[in-house]
Amino acid sequence: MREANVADASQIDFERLFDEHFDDVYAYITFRLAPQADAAADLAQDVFHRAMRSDARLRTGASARAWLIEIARNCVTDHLRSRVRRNHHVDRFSDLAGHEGVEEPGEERVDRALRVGQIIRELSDRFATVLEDKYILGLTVEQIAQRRGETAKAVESALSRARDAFRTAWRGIEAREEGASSCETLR
Amino acid sequence: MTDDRIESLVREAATAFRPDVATRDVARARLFGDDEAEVLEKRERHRRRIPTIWRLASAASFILLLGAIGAYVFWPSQLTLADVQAALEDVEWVHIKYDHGDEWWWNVPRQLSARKSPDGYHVFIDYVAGKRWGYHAGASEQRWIHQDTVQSYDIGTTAWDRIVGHVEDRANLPPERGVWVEASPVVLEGRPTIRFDTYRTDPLDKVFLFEQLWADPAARLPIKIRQKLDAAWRRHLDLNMEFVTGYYDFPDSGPESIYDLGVDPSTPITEAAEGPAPENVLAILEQVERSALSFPSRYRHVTWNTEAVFILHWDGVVTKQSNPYWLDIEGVNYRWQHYFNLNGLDEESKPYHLPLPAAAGDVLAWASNQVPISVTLQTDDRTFQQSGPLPDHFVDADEVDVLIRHGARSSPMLSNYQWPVQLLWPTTCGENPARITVLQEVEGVPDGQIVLRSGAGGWRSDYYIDPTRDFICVRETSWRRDHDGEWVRSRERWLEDFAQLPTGHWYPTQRREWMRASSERGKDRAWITHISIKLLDESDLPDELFDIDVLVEKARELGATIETF
Repeated sequence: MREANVADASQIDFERLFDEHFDDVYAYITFRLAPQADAAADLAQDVFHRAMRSDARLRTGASARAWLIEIARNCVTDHLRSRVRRNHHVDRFSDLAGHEGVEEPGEERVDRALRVGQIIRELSDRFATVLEDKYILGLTVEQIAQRRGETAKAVESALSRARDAFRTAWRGIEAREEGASSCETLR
Repeated sequence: MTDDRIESLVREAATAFRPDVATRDVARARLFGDDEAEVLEKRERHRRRIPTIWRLASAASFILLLGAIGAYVFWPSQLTLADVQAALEDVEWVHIKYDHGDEWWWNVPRQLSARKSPDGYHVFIDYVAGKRWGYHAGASEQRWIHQDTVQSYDIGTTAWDRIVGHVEDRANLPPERGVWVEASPVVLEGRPTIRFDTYRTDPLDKVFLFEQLWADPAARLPIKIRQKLDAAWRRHLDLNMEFVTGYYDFPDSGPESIYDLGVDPSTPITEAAEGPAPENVLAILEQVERSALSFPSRYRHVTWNTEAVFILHWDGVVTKQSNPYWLDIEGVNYRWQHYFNLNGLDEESKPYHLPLPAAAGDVLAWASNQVPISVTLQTDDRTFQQSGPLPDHFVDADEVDVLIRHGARSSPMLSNYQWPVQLLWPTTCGENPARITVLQEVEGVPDGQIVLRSGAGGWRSDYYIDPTRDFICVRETSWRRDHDGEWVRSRERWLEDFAQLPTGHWYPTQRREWMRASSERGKDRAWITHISIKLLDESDLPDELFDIDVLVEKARELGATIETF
């Protein structure tokens, strides 16, 4: 049965949209939630639900993928806010590779992705958002500036400082892992 | 790291976790009402919520999966665990080999079991005969196959009981046990299978995937198992893997003796003494055990020497229950802390140095300003073990590892006689009375002392019991057989300078030890450890002392790596 509240004409577009972008949306949400990514599939569906109910925004000029990722970002934020100490949650860290629901991306790639996710979570909202806008949504500096109502120079500056913060955090994680690795060797 | 590298990392991370076909189909069904996928969605929804779906894999689910993965010529219309059980009825030998090297064989109809462990241990058990043969390839002493009797153990009556029955047992547990099983059709290496996932709840109330078992709906036999590796075992084997995976096969034949596991046929077998212990031994052990069980149940035990300080707080009654060789500590709370006493001359060691001689009060005052390098806390339902942080100048000094596990232990996880009961009455901790004899006319033994000898294979121990002091073992000598078959003294320990607790119980204030060098070029070691025992009241034990959650919180503040299985 098709959903009654979705018009046929737009549904065709959304089915195409789903086929083209579901994987990207799901991957983005899993990346943002990892290692506790058990809600990724539900949230990915929610993204398309929200998109279907606000199709007017599709005409704003942004690419469909960027638009969906932006909705996904809001869904993730809402989800993280609501995830206030549940009784049980599945730690999917060990589970991401090889578990039904996620294709196996390879251990190194998983490790890197988890590490990047950790850094993004630890960055300030401003830095995390500008990095995502630039690299995941694929927006230009001018587009980011226009969305934020800022000057391109301010965005460039934020981007530069966000990259510095990213580098510092990355080095910190590497140093910790090297420490852990040498300790393993000693054992 | 260049800007391009950051871009590439972020882009890669955001696309690393692709959904599988089933996840995408379920989402599509929910959004657009695809009829076939609706069924898949229903399956997915129930897979998550219903704890036991043993009779699943209906034709519809399989047909859907078939559509998703491509064409298969044959697909059975139904598979239930009962089918698997029936298929296993006729199986005689089961063999499984894990990717970390562990290998097992079972012949359940004939009640045989064999194992080659990755740490070098080989064992062959004949449950009908009640015999076990063990061999350790890594043992330093002369190679022996140790034969003893095996206690009855239910390995079931068919291969089903042995390799799948436990999954069914878990599936039938009530929800409050925190264990459940979910079943789902999945493709494994290109072939359709049913996978049974067991989830458990860890001691911090988090759900984790514990085990996955794949069964072949065509052959109706188990194919593969993936199990979370216990952290203690992982550390023991120094394995950097969280899960181990094993593949089943069902050979026509299997090992008929320990020699078939690859043990050199010339390896001699030593047979442990069997049957009831001699009456004179039992009479002494009864006295020993009575003394151990009457020891006070609430105390602080402090030991210190030139290298370390150990502080144990104990609260609970030791009992004798089902295990014939061990005392039971169920319901006991204890907390044990280990501190480095660094006696190096360098400046960095000074803050961690306890000058000796010292009285117990000095030691406690010193320890109050130190951070223990390890903490073990056991309560009636959980065990907490923390290692680290180390003193500042150690490599990886700030690294902290924590392991939290469910359940009480049958005996304390304390080493080197850190538990007074084990220190004073070692025969109550794992000794089989059947292999103990009373030695007569031992040279140099003070009048009245009794010497018990226990041993098998390449080792033996002599216990010198003092009936005038609560049947305490005041001296223990350990022997091992060298490569020429000669017995050599390997370790010795004396308890000295006895004092009495207010209850009248005796305890030593000093433990003197000697240990033979492990190689000819090495040096023998001798050292003295001081002992203090103080009886405590309930008010001396604040609640926080035995609160695992408090320790977990502190460990988190230290950035600890926390494992829960």
